[in-house]
Amino acid sequence: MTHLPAHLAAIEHIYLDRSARDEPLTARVLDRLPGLPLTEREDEAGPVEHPGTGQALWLRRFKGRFLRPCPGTRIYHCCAYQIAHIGENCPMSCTYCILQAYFQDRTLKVWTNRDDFLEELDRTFSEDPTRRWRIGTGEFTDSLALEALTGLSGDLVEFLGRFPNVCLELKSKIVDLSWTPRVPRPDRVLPAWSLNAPQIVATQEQGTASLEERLQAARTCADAGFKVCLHFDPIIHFPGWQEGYSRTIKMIGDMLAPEHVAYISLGSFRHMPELAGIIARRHPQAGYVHGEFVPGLDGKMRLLRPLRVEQFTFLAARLTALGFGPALYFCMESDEVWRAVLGRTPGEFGGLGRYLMDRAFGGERDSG
Amino acid sequence: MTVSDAVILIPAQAIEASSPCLFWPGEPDESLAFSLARLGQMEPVLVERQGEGFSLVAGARRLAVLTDLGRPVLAREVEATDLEKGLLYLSTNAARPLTDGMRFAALRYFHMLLTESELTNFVAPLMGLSPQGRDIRLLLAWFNLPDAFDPALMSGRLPLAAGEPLSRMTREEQEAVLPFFATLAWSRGSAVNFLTWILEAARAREMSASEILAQGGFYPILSEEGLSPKDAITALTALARAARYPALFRLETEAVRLGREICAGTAFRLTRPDQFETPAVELTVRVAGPGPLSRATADFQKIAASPLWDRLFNLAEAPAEPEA
Repeated sequence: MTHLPAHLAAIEHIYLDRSARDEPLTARVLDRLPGLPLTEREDEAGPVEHPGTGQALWLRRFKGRFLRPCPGTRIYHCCAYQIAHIGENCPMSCTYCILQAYFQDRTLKVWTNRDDFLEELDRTFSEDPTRRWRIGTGEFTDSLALEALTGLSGDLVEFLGRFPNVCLELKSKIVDLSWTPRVPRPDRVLPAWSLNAPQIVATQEQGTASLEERLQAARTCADAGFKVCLHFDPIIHFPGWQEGYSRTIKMIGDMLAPEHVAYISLGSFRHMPELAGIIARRHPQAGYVHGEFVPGLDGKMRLLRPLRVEQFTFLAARLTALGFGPALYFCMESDEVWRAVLGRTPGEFGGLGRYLMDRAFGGERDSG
Repeated sequence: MTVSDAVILIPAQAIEASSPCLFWPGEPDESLAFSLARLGQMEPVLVERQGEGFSLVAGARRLAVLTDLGRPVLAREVEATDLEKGLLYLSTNAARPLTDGMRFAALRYFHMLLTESELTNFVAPLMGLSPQGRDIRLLLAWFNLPDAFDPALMSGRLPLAAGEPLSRMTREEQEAVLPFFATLAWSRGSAVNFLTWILEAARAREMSASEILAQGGFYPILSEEGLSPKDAITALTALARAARYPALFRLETEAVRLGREICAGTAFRLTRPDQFETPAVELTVRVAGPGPLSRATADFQKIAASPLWDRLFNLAEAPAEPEA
């Protein structure tokens, strides 16, 4: 039996849709999880309702579009990447996680029809080889959390070797570098880690790798020729945040050089209004949820703008002092915030999506 | 349980009216006093034998009136357990309009005799509450609060809904907020907002609600001379909101001040619609004819020339000031 990482230890039951039974990915997952109770079910049986206290893994085929735009609004500047949809939910338990509001349950869903997934990508990316794509798998799940079971990122990076017009970002809070030997072109894959203040990692990100482990992994990837991405998202407003984020930034400076980094995002904690109640109920220790949040222009609750600007300015100044200034961008922010913190707006440099595309492709300008 | 068919006539002084099953004591109303005085007693009270005398089981207000009138009391004798006596009292008073405080008083009596499930499924419907409803859940949760909150609920000064934020507080925090409900009578909205804002301000700053109250100048309001109860509640609620949203409160206060100055002497009203997410403001005026329209146009010119616009537009542009 494969030795499973700690963040997968809570998986206690597998549910398998009948149509997914003969998929190669199903065989791989079952091979790596021998001995767990397995329930086969009809595809039409509705959502899995797992009665246990642990986690359930649901192997099923996905019938929708695998590739889709990030659901950002036009009111704030979106990074404009495309989501490659590989599954839903996450085995870790971050108190602030938006997935708590997106999904009603904690069932880990893995789409087993990998060939359909890759065929759709093939069709899309082959259509116009001069069109560049920046895609990521870390929107509705952690990109690497289930890698030890599925090996899907390894399959994906190998497959994308045929498409030099595609750059894949793998965003995670755990460390799993098992896929790296299968990467044909390290300059087309961006390993990425979410970062936060040490207190937040320790108290609000249950089951994740430590900051040191994440940054050590980033350094390993950088040494192997990858550019890495770092995401300060969500930035949390809590007592002592200045000291906390300073410590994290110092750790970045100790581990990485600016040339190792493709980009660094800064995103303030924002949430759908109903998420605050869910967090307060499930995670009473999450005092940050009672910060000064007001409705943003997109209907999500956002920290009061001057408080966001204060935090962004603090982080941006320290990251810029270490040479990371050109890598910085804001996730879902307004012109007012961009101007107040960085003194420029995306409109002034051709748009955020284009800028990040250039950074992702190692500074190569888009000819389109 | 037995209730005698015979009706007996007893001197009012022979009936002791202090049984805990009389959980809704109250002064008799004028119509009852008038009816008993003019028409006499038509419904007997319920009593149980106690030594040489009797203990009242139901009919406390009738007994009080008849005692005042110096008349003997028509009564039926019962033999019942404590639970049955409570149910008899409840059923004979079922027509009274019930408050949350009365319901809690009844539950407090039955709480000693029944399980929570029995209270929910058996007693709650007798008081007009759904077993699945929020009110019975809140009433039962109230038993986890210190007894010192009971008088405030039963007198109607503290609404039942306040139990939700109170139950999320520590014992020390609950004791710290108790003085605010000793004399002031709170509406549901004000009480819930006050307690929730204090609690959330504390959790956000990793402090206790007691520290927020002590540092925020809440207690002096309770002893401020010349402040009406209504004004005291308004002041306390405003302080709680300022504690919960300190930066927003400062910006709002300054925006309102600047807006008033800019619009002074005109019919215009200035608001910030986006909660400072953008610098945008809204100016509104209501006109009902060419004359007012002409005056509003002139006012608008005057407003546009105000030197305060820069300050207003830039109010939220600087990073937040550190909290005082």
